Amino acid sequence: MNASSSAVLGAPATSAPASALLATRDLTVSYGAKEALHPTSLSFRKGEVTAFIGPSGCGKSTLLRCLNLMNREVVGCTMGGRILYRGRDILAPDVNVYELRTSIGMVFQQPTPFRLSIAANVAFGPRHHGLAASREADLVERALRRAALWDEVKDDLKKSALALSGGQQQRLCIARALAMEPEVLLLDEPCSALDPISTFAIEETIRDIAASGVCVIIVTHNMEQAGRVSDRCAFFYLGTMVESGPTLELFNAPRTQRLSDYLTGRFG
Amino acid sequence: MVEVRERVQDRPTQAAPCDVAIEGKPHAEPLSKDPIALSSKPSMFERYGKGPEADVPKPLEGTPVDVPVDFQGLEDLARASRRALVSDKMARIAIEIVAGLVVIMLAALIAKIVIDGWDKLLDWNFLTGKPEQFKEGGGIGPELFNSFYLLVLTLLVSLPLSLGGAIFLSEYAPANALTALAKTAIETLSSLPSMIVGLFGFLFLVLQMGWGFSIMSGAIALTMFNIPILVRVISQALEAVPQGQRDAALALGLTRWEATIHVLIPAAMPAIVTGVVLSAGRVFGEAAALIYTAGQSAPALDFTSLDLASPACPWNVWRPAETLAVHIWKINSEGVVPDLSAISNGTAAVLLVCVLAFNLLARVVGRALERRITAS
Amino acid sequence: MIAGLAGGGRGTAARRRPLPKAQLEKVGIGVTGACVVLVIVLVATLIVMVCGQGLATFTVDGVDPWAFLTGTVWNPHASAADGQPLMGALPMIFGSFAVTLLSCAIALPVALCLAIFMVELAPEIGRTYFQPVVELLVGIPSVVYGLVGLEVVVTWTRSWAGGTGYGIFSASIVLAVMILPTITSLTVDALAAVPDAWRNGSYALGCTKWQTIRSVVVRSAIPGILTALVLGMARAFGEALAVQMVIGNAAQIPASLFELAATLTSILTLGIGNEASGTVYANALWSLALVLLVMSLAFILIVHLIGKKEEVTDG
Repeated sequence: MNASSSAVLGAPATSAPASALLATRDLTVSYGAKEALHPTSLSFRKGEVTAFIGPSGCGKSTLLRCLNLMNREVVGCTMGGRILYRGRDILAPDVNVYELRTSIGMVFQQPTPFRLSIAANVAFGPRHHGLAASREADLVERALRRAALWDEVKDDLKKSALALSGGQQQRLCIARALAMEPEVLLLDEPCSALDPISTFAIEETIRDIAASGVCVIIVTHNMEQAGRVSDRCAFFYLGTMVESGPTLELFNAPRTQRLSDYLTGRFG
Repeated sequence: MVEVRERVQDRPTQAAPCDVAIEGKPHAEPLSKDPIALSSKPSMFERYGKGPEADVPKPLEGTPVDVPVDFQGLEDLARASRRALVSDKMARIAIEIVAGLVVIMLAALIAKIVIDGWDKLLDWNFLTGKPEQFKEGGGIGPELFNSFYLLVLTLLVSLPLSLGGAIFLSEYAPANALTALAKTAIETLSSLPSMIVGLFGFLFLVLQMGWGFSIMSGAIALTMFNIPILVRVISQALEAVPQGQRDAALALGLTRWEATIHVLIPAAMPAIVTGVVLSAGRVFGEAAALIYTAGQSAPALDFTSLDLASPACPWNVWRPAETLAVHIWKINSEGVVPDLSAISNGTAAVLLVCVLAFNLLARVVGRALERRITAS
Repeated sequence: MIAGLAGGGRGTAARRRPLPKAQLEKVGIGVTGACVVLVIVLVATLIVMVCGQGLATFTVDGVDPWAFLTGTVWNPHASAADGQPLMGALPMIFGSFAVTLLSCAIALPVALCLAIFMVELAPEIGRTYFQPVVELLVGIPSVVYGLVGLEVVVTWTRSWAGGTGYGIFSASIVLAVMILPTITSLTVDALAAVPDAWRNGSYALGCTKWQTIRSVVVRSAIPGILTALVLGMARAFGEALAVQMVIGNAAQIPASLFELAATLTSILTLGIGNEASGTVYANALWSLALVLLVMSLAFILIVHLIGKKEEVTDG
C-alpha cells in the first residue's frame, strides 16, 4: 500500500498544476455571532488525498462541510471569503448547490445507508438526477467495484442495505457517492465507527479512489490514519488552520510548537 | 414520611436544605461531630480521616475524639432512618394499590360496556337495521356506515394537509413569522375543545357556506379536530429519522423535497401509519364536533342508489349523517325510544370494539411495516 | 447554471432533467407552505368568527359585559325590569370551573401514583401493560364515558346522596376518569425526563427509593407535572357531551355538589341548534362559546408560561 501511495504522492507534489481543482480563499464560517473557522486558505488537487487533522472542535469538520455547501442546510450558519471550484466561486448566490453536490460527493462519520436494497442505494443519486434505467446495472457494478464491495455483495444486490456489516455499509456509502462520478470526495471521519479491519479496507479503497484521479479530502482525528492515507495534511486548532503541507514533511518536521505538541500527544 | 419531615424541621441546628434526614447534617460543625454514623457502623471520620489502623471498626464509645458525641442526634437519626424505611415500604404499597385499582377500574369499565352490549353486538339486525324513533327494535346500520364514511373522508382531507404541514414544520421551518405562526396555530387548535370546533363548523360551514348539516361539513370539522394530532404524530416520526439520512440525501445533490419524499417518509412510515390509525380511533368516536355539523339525523340508506343528489344514496356527501357516537348522545338526551338503554349499550359496545380494533390494528400494522423495512 | 461544473470527466450517465432541482425545491416549499397557510387561515377564521358572534350580545344587544359575567339568572328569553334580557352566565362559568377543579383534584393524585408506578417502581410492567392501557383510555369516546357515567355514577350517587344523582359531583367523577390518561401520560413523560444520574446521586446518599422519588424525581419534574395538570384542566373545561349527560343542565348555582347544575359546554350543546341565528338568545349562547374559547386560549398561554419559566431556570 505504501508503494502505491508514494507513486501517487510523487507526481502531484512535485509538479502541482498551476490552478487547483478546489481551493478556499480566506474562508470563514460563523454560527450566529461566533466564528467557528477563522480565515483559511487551502488548495486541493486531483489525485491527491488531503487530511484535516486536529483535536475535536477545531473546525476541521466545519471546513469540510463548507466544500459541498452542506453548511447551507444549518440554520444560523454563515460563510465568508471564497471557495473556488474549477476557478469559480461557489459561495456566489447563483450557484446551483444541487448540481455542485453531484460533483463533490460526501461520506459521513456514521454509515448512512437508506432503507433500500443495496443496488437501489448505489443508484439512488443518479436515479434522482435523471439516469436512464437501462444504464443502472452497469453503473451500480462500476461504483461497487471502485468501493471494493462488488465481490462481497454481487449476489445480494436486491437485499436490504441494512443487513450489511458496519464496514460494508460505509463502503456502500462510498460507492453511493462514487456512483455520481464526483471529482471531489469528502470523507468526514469515515472510519471512526468501524473496527480496525474495516478501517484498513476503507483506507485502501480511499487510496485507490485517489489514484483514479479523484480529489479526496478526509477529516480524521487519528494521526496514524492521516499518515497512512494522505499526501497532504492540514492541522487545525481552535478554528484556525495552523499548518499545512505534505504529510511526511509535516509529521517529520513540524514547524509549529502546537503541531509538535499534538503529534507527541501532549493534548488532543 | 410526614413524620420524618417533622423530625428534621424540629431540630434547631439543622440547616435542612432537603427534607431527607441523612442529608441534613449541620454544616457549620466540625466533621468529628458529624452524626453520620448509624448505630454500630464506623463513622466517616473513623474510616477515612485516620490512618490504616482505623480500618478496623471500633465501637462508637471508644472514638478518640475530644469533642463530645451528640448521642441525642445519633438516636434521632437512627430513628429517622428506620422511619424512612417504613415509609418507603408504605408508599410503595399505597402506589401499587392505586395502580392496581386503576387497572381493575378500566377492566370493569370495558367489561361492563361489552357485557351490557353483548346481545346487540352479535345481532345482525341491530348492526344493519335502520333506527327507530318511537318504537323498539331500532338498528344502527346507517350510523355504522356514516361513521366509517366520515372517517375515510376526514382522512382523505386531513392526511395530505397534515403531511404537508408536518414536512414544512420539521424539514423546512424557515426562521420566519410563518413558521412561528403555524406552530402557534396548530398548538391552539390542539387544545381547543372539540365543542368549539363543532360550533365553528356550524357557524361557518353549515350556515355561512350553506352546506347545511352534511357529511361534508362534518368531515371538514373533523379535519380541524384531526390536523393537530396528525401533524404532531408525523412531525415526531420525521424527527425520529436519524439526521444522517437527511445529510446523506442532501449530499447526493437532492433537494429537501426529494430527501423527504424518497428517504425520510419511507423511513418514518411505520411510525406514521401507527399514529394515523390511532388518530382514526379518536376521530371515529368524536361526537361534540359533529352534532352541529354532520347533524343528528340518519336518513335510511339505499345501497343500490347511485344518484349522488339523493339523500338515500350512501355516497352523497351533502346528506345529513348521524354517527355512532352522536347516536348514543342523541337517544340519551331525547330519551323517547323505549329500548333506550339496550340500544345505547349496544351502540357503545360497537363503538368500543371499533376503537379497540383501531388500537390493535395500529400496533400490528406498525410492527409489520417495521419488520418489512428492516428485513433483508 | 455553471456549464463547467457539469463538464470535465463526467457524463457517464445520460441525463434527462424533468424539473430543475431549484424549481423542485420551490414546489416543495410552496406545497407544504400552502398546507400550513391553510391551517393558519382556518384557525384565524375560527377565532375571528366565534369572537365576532360572541361579542354581538354586547355590541348589538347592548348587554353589559360585567352583568353578563356576574349575573346569576339565565333566562335570555325574558327581560328584567330595566328591559335588559336576563342573561347572567355566572352559573355556567361557576359550573365549568367547579367540575374542572374537582375532577383535577381527584385525577391528579391518582395520575401521579400511576406515573410513579410506571416510571419508578415497575418500568417493565409499565411499558408493556400500562402504556397500552393508558393509550386505550384516551381512545374511548367521550359519549361512552358519558353513558357509563349516566348508568353507573349517577345511579350510585343517587343511592347514597339522595336527590337525582345528577350534578357537579357525578360530572367530576366522570371527568376525572376522562382526564386521567391525559395527565398520566404527560406526567410519565415528565418523570422519565429526569436524568438517572440524579436518582443515583440520591441513592448514593443513602436515601430510600421513596425519599428519592419524593424529593428528587417529583420535585424536579414539577414544571412537567404542572403542564400535565393544565392540559388536563383544558380538556375537562372543554369536554361537552359526557358532562352534559350527567350534570343535569339547570342553569343555577347549586347549593351542593349533588344538585342539578350546568356548564358552559352543556348549555351550549343543548341550546345552539334550537335557536335561529341572530336572536338575542342565540347571541347569548355564542357569548358563552366566547367565554369557553377565551378560557381555552388562557390554558394554552399558561402552558406556554410554564415552559418559558422552565427554560429560564434551566439556562
